[in-house]
Amino acid sequence: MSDDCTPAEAPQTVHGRVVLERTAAGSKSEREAVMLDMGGAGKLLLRRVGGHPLRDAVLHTWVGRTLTLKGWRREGFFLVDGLVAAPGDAAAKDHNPE
Amino acid sequence: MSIDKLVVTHHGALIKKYGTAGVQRITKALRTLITADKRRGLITAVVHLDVAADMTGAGQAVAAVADAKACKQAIDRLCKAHDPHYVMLLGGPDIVPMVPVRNPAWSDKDGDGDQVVPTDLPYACDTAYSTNPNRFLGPTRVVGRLPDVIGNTDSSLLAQLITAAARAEPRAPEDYQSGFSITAQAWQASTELSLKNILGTTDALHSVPPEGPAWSKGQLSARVHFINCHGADASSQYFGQPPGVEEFPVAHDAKRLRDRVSAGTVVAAECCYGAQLYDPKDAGGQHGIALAYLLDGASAFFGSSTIAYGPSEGNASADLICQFFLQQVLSGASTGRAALEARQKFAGARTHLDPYDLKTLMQFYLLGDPSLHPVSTSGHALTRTAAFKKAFAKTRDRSVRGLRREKLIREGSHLAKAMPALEPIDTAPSTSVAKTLAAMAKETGLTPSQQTRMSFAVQPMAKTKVAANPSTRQVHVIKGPVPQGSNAAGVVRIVAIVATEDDGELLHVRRLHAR
Repeated sequence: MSDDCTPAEAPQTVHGRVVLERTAAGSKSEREAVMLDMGGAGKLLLRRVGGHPLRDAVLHTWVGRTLTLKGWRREGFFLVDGLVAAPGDAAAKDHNPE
Repeated sequence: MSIDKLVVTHHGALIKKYGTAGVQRITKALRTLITADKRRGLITAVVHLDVAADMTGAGQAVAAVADAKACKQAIDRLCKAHDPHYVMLLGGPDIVPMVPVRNPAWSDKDGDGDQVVPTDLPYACDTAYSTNPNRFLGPTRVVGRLPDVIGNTDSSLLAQLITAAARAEPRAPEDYQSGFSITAQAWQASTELSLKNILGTTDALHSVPPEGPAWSKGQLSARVHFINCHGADASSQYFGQPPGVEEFPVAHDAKRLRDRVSAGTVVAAECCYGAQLYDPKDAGGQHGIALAYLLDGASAFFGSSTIAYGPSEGNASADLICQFFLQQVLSGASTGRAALEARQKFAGARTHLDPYDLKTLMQFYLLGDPSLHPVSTSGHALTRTAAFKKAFAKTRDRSVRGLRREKLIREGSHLAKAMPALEPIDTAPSTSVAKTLAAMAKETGLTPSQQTRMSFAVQPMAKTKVAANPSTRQVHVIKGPVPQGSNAAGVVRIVAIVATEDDGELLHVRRLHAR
């Protein structure tokens, strides 16, 4: 993806456990969504740059892991640009967006 | 001279976004629109909210950087001063902000994550600025927004939309007889019912899956589009869904609309975030479907800024407000009047709005020039006589439009006074209602330990006779996960039961089905 198509501001990092959770109950958006549970700091709905906004197979592979994510916080979601690899987390390399 | 149509924008925000040369291009396009409107019998004035000369007679100009509150107050003063028949907000939310109204359906558990609903509805109401949705139950003004792309620095797109509005012409009703409709397969029954109510037939219906998203030019050429699919925050696509399965194949894509939309097309989309105006940088550089339609020649797009509601079978909430809009357009209303009448009909059809219907009223709004009449109407025989033409040569449609506006103001004012407000409370349902709801919840499969409840008092507005007596009417929402027995993947669905009680008696109940 070219720089023109990504947010201009510098990305930030967030850390937490990736969980699968029902969201937008009873609405037209209701679904199992991949969230980042940051403990006391709340939960963030995750979206990956270039990924399917409702069901992203890559995000689903992260469920259950504790990760540090790089990206941009938006009104209703966190736009993930990549994983910040933790020591020994080789899988992070495999899942960073192009 | 009276002004029929106000084009409202913010000069400082336009300059900051497009620079002087860019604004000159927009100004030139606006001159074309003013000329075209004059030909249509409309006196149009462009008002920059931050330019003192433009605000003459309507109080102080707003600041160089204006928030929604300042813009709402300035537009209220302008409407009081000029009593326009149409108000067109020019530019996206980074030019004229939308009002961030509190979402009555917001819930931090399993719920609707939109804490606020960005909306243009307050601009259509003569009540003062507020973020309380209960203040905007009685819209009286014909308002639409001709948007631009957030964050874009090239003014040619906005100029293109203005010029397209100038060129738009009413077409014969026959041109709007055929439609194009996309539904998520899971919601086909609901969409079929909507289509019968709009077009009288379901011939135009396409279900995703198995179809889509490569719609042919022939399919897209129909001038009435009705879409009931999934949408997502900052997404340039809509999505389908097979029944009972959490798969969301692409149903519609902004990238696939170019050079495929017929001039004068009118769209109503029920999708969550279906008409959201977002920064394309959050969506791989692609603006949304609503803008794609308008840029390709559509006259109007009616959709939601946030998460929307509607049942999988039957019609409610988003289904209804979208139907009302298209029905009014097809009967010859301007797109702005159709939006206002849809809002009034939706609000007025009930004694009170539950949190989901209240959100629906807030979130659906019109993108496009509100003064456009896509469908022409033939007047009664007298209108074709020389005496009639002579009598109304100067005023043309203004006088009869004024009568229509009087009626709409009366309707809206009545709604504002009569519709009760919905205030969050901690009170639990009465014992007998709780017992009934518990039985319904049990039959629905809701486990008591996993249920959550939101309760609201239905408060009559202060000036009504009903207000003399304290309200005993309450709305309770019970919500929780329900395992889907037939789903091998163990998928659970959230079900909400919405109950209205009065003085301890259960009056009404509905269930919002998970999808």
